[in-house]
Amino acid sequence: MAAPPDADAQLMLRVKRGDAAAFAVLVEKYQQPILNLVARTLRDPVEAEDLAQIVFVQAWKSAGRYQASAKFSTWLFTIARNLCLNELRRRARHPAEPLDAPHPEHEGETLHQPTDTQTASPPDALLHGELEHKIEEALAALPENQRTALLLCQRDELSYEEIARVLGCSLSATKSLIFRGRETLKQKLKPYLRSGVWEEKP
Amino acid sequence: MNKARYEQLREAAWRRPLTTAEQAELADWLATQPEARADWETETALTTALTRLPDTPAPSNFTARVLQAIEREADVRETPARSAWGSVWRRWLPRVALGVSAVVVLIGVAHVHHAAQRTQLARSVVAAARVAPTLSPEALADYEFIRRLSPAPGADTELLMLLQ
Repeated sequence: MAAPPDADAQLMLRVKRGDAAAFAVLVEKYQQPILNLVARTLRDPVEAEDLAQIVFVQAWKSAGRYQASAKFSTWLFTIARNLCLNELRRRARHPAEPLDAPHPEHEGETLHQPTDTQTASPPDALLHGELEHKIEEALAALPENQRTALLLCQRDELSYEEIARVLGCSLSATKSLIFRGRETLKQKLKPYLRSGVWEEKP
Repeated sequence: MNKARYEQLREAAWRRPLTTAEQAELADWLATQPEARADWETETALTTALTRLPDTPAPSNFTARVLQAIEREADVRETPARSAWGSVWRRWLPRVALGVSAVVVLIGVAHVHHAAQRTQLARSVVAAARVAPTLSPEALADYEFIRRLSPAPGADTELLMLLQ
């Protein structure tokens, strides 16, 4: 997302005229951030791929309604968030038991994966993996609006105004969502964060 | 520096690395605030952790799949009129057929009923003509004659007496 927003708007003007090549450039550029957001919202990589694809198809179909004054990334993330919310609502209406769900009698027990003793990773890599897993878990436990605000802020570098537009709330409410999300993560991850593994490397 | 300025710098650090001046300002303040120092360390560690989270693996053919899906959408859109008419026709044809059949049956029933009525009327006329011989117009001009033809029924005096 290094290109200036007007470059995206220029591409979208071509997309409005039915230019698929221009759209392919936008898909290449935004597939990763959209996939990241969708995957962290749905917590299912296969469904995330499908939904991310639908996000771009929806963007193509709605290209006629795109206003060049709006930033393309904001518009695209809004589509992605709305589709994620639709999917979460659909899941809530028709809950399906995942195949790898823990048995009610064994709920709360840690699932022990067999360890690969042949290719043991270095200790810091293991610690990193565990911390990543803990952070993903803590992120998943956040309310949807706090998680989305936090990810758009930290990962996708959207401005507070743009995040507020995606979430459909005020600027102060957006900052409050980010603050509360971070506070929850800090509380949950304090022992891990203070381990020093995540400190900035020079 | 005060707490408000600290909050301001913390919010700035969520979005971007602090400038050298900001870092110096912050370091001076944190040296006198041990609690804030611990909080700041957790803050920066969380920011780093969130930034370094690995990307979800994207399939190499993602763009091709999107473009393929768009082409499929376009194919569906190319024949919208035909498919729309087809769907309207499929939906309404049974209803229209049922309506037309009902109207045809009703017309048939009404026609048969009307014909039966006319036949009955014709039969009645024939029967009446046989029972009552035709009177000459001259006879019908005489009032007294007509009065004698159909005398009005007299009062039932016996019944009246009983009722009284």
